[in-house]
Amino acid sequence: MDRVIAKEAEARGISEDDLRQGYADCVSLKRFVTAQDIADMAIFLASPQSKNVSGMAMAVDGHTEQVTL
Amino acid sequence: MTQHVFITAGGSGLGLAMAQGFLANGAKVAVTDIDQAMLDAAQSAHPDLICFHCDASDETAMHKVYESLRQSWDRLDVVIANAGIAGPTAAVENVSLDDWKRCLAVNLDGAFLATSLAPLDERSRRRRHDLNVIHGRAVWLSVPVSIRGGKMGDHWFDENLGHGTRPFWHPRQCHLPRRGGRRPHGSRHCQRSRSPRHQRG
Repeated sequence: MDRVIAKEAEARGISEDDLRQGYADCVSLKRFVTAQDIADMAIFLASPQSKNVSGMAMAVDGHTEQVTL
Repeated sequence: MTQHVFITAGGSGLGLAMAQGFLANGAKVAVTDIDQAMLDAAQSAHPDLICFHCDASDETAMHKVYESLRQSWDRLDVVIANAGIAGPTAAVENVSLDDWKRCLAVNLDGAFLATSLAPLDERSRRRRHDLNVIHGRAVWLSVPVSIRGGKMGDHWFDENLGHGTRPFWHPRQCHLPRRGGRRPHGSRHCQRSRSPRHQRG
């Protein structure tokens, strides 16, 4: 994600911090998702606790309210 | 029962985080990565991790990886097609066709190969509903960070990669709810109404 933000900031001519803050402002929980958050979801999907979950898109994004273009 | 987990691009980032999580839960984990240095670092930190230097979009290489896994494991419980690249960040007129094709090769072909070549034995093929397949954000780009997965049903792959290809055309707009909520069924904005299946007369 850091590399994606660095590239996009360079392409848009703004600082990485500003871009990162802009993304965080679009999220209800106002924070970035960590790799551990994604790993936790993957472990849940592979566990018996999700035995009847199939073909679902699981958003682990702190609830995206809006998208910047 | 010990889970056997296979993760593409597991040398760093999200893939490594998932590998670490499964290892902590007592699973046997194999990862691929195109970056040998990252693989070496991951292997040093986690001696139990099985590492393969491999391009996830290379069919021959993936065949070899799965063949090696088949010889050492008697089962496979989880496939995580995590490999993905962001592609060039530029206006579309400045993106070369080669860059575009490379992005699709890794993000889509890689997911297809990881899933379709999974070394299932006959027993597993009959019980494939128990196989867990998880695709990373590379395939499902509709929201910034999401993963798509669950138990592999009869049409699991069609449904997932079928939907997964659509957001590539405009990843930030296609699957996000429009401001103002859902378009009513029957309106010219309703995609479902405009599909051939719903055209009458």
